Amino acid sequence: MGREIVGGVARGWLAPAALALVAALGLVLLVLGLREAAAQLVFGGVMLAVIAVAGVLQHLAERPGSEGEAPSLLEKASWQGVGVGLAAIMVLGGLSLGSTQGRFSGWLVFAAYVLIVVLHPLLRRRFVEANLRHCDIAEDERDRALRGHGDRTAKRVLELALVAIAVAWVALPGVFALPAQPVRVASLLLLPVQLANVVGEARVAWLYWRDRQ
Amino acid sequence: MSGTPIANEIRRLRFEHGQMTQQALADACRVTRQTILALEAGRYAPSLELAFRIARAFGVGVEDVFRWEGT
Repeated sequence: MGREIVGGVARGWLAPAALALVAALGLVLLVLGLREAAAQLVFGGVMLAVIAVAGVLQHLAERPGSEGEAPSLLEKASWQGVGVGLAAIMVLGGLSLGSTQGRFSGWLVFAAYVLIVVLHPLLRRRFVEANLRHCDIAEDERDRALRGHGDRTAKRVLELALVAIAVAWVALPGVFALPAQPVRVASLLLLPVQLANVVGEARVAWLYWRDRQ
Repeated sequence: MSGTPIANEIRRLRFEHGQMTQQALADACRVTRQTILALEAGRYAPSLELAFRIARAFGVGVEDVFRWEGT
C-alpha cells in the first residue's frame, strides 16, 4: 500500500518535471538558434515548446470529468497520437531545414519514419487487440464516429497545408529554392501529413474530453 | 456529437431494472461504458442497431427508450 502511494506520487511528479525539462530545452534551443541565426535550431526550440504545451493540455484534459469519469484508453491514445505527431513534425521539419546537412544519419532518420508510417495500421490493430484482452469492448460505434470526425478534419487540414506549400513554393521561389538533398524535399512534403494527423488526433481528443464534461 | 434531438430514458430504465449499472448495460449492448454515459447525457445519438440492443436489454420497445425532441 505504502509503495503504491510512493509510486503514485513519483508518477505524479514525473510528467510535470519531464514537461518542464522539454520546455527548458526548447527555450535553450530557441535562444541558441536566434543567436546563431540557425533556422533548424529555432524550429526545434519552437516544436519542443509546443510539445510541452501539448503535454500540459493532456495532463489537464485527462483529469476525471464532471461525473468522475476517467478518460478511456482511446482518448489517451489520441493524446499519444498528438505527441507522436508533434515529434514527427519536429524531426521532418528539422530534416527539411537541413539539420543533418545531407549526412547518412538523415537517411536513417527518414527510413525510420517511413517504417513507422508503413507499420502504423498494424501497430494500431495490435493496440486495440491488446486492450481487448483487458475488456470485452475496446472500440465501439461511438469511438468510430469520433474517429470519423477527426479523419475528416485531418483530410481538410492536409488539403489546405498542401495548397499552402504549393502557393508558397510558387509565390516565393527564392525562399523555397529546391534544396540539393532529396531527403529535405521529401521531408518537407511529408510535413503536411503529420500536421493533418496532429490536428485530427487533437480534434478526437477534444471530442472525447467534451463528452466527459 | 452534442445537442442530439433524440432524448432517452436509459437512466430511468436502468434504475427500474434493479439499479442496473452502466457497465452491465454496456456489456449487454456490447459497447463501452463511456458510450452509455454519453447516451444518458444526450451527447450521442446511437445507431439503429444500438438503439434496438438497448431496448432489448430492458425488454421494451425502441420507442419506450428513445423519443424525438427535435423540431
